[in-house]
Amino acid sequence: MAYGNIFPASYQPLGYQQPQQMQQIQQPQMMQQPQPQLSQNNPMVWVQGETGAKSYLLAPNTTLPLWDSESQTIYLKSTDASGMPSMKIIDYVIRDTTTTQVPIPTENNNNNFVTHEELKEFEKKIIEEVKSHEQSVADDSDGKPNKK
Amino acid sequence: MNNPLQMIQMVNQIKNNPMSILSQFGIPQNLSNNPQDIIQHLLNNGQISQDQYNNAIKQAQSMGFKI
Repeated sequence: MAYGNIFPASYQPLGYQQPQQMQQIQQPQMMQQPQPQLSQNNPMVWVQGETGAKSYLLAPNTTLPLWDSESQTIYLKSTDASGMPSMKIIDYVIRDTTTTQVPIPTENNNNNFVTHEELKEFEKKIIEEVKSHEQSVADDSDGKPNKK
Repeated sequence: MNNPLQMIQMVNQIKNNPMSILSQFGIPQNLSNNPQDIIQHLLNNGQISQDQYNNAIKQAQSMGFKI
């Protein structure tokens, strides 16, 4: 009596598996790794008012910021080794970015500055104006008509 | 707990004496009147972690409980 191959065609004894197959076996195991909980990455704890913060329980030797959902306040609650709680209350102000922004000089703002050449030309014009004014004053004192 | 018989026995025990659940977790009976005290006891003894407590509070808040 002849026995056929009882193993499926794709069967290969362990030890002769191709690297690709090993990857396929390992992949589901990697996917099953537990994901870190969101709350551990985002430890924002909300409480309702100071009474909510006072009644929030902490393990010994723990510090936890508690955010007030009713006002702009953070309660920094801590416990010592014996579990004795203490709390610091912080009132915060949200900065209005539109009013506190400092203007940053850009290339367009450079047009507001005067170059050395422009300044020298302006100086020349002023000197000429002064000279012409002096000349006209001198002409007036001589009784001659003003040139201008 | 894999043994169903053991589980039934425990349920019956809790039915007959609800306070017995406290002793199962090593909670002193004198704390039984105040849930806050029981949770603080569990936190102090490391039976529940701060993260577990925070998560439980968040879950309660999401269900509409005011904390």
